[in-house]
Amino acid sequence: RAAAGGARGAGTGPASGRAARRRARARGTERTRSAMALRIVNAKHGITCHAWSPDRKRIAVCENSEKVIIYLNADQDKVNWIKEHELAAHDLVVSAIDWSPVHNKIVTCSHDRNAFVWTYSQGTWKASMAILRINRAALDVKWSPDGSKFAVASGAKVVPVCHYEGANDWWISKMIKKHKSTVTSVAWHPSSQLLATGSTDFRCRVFSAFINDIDHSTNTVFGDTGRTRFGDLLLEFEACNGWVEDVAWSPSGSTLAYIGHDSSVNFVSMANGSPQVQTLKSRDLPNSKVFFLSDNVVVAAGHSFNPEIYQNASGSWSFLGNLNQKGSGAGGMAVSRTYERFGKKVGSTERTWSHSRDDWAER
Amino acid sequence: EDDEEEEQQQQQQQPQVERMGEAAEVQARQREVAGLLQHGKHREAVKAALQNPPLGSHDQAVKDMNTEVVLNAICSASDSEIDKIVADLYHNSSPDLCDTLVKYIYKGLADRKYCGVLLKWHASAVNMAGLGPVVRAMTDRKTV
Repeated sequence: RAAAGGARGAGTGPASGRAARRRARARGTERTRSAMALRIVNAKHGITCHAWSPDRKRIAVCENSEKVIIYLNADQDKVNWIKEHELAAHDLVVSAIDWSPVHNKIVTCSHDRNAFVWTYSQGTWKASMAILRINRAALDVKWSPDGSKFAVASGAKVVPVCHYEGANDWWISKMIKKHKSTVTSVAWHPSSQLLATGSTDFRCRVFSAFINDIDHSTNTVFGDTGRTRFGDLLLEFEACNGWVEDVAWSPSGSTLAYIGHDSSVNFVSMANGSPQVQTLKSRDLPNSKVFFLSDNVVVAAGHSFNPEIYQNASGSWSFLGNLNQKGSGAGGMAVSRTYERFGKKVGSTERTWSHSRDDWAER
Repeated sequence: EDDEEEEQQQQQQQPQVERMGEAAEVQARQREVAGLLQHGKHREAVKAALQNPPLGSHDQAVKDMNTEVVLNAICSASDSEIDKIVADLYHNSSPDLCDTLVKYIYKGLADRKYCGVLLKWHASAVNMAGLGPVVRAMTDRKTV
């Protein structure tokens, strides 16, 4: 499970599902509609995080250590994967990696309270330290969609948002405070001005991350950054009864999803200026990661080892099914009927998966 | 720590009327459940007992009384009825009722009452509703 093995995955991975099915079909062993899980990296101690390169040919993986390994030919069969580079700058385990398609820079953050920005030049990756000013571990890092900033979720109850200062050639941080406990995850609105955070104080919040010198303010349904300052709290959601494990924005920025440790998935959209929250309670163990495949399809995966798909049909979200379907009831007929039913529903979403993949490849 | 202080202040300020309202509601539920049990209607009794639990109430006596009502209803059902009742709760009622049922199962297990019966109910509930209600019983800060 290259994209979802072990614990955290910070990258985008539907590509692995499609490539895997192509391979399986070639081998004649395809199981229709069931996502193939291939053990590509046999990491004995788990994989903490990963990130795909913008062209999806490379993947940066942290195998639960202080080093990040970049594999080449990640879009091919596992026998062709080559270990290309090793990024070693951290002292403790790397908790998150993000690879920006805008300028091809990698940002990594670690439990050692540091974050490094890696730039590829002349055949190697060079690190430059970002001054985060936190006194606890960094847990999550994400580039803004326009590549100008990155935000770090930390156990220090603050979110440093770093941008590049050319005068001194370093990445300098501005702090978003107002959290009462560890911030577990951050997610950027497509406009690169709003930041959603999830925290272990049971709340999901949306902040303005507008930095005067480098941003143009935008007016979105979730808030107008022209009228607020950096770090202002725009919205706060308490629908969840457990730690907020992950947050994600839809590609158009119209919906915010966050998952909680009480096995719930919450969807927030704005209607007439006020937020509408829809909470779906799952029957399985809590999820750790949530991701929008398109504006209407969400996948969440976590402790029950079986990704869940949620779909928005006609305005309200509902649980569609699990990715690895087991036959319900005795007999092969029942199994194939289940696959067929699921396949018909998923059929429409498969197109969106490939559509999204092309989007990223273009960018 | 701030939250605890706030809660204590709220507890002192909570008007007597509110607490009496909660107690009255639980007593009414107790009577309703007793009536249903007399007529042998175990399924309806369990359903009625699980409605509107005093979640997060500051009155421990009210919570204890409600726990008594729920456990009484649960334990009066015979073993063969457990699966049917749980299936009925899961399919025909709001999903919150299953969550509440599992919360009271754990409350009873914690108080070391009726453990044998509760473990049978636990197995049936997890079989029907999955592990989600168990996770919510563990994480919900507003306890029954």
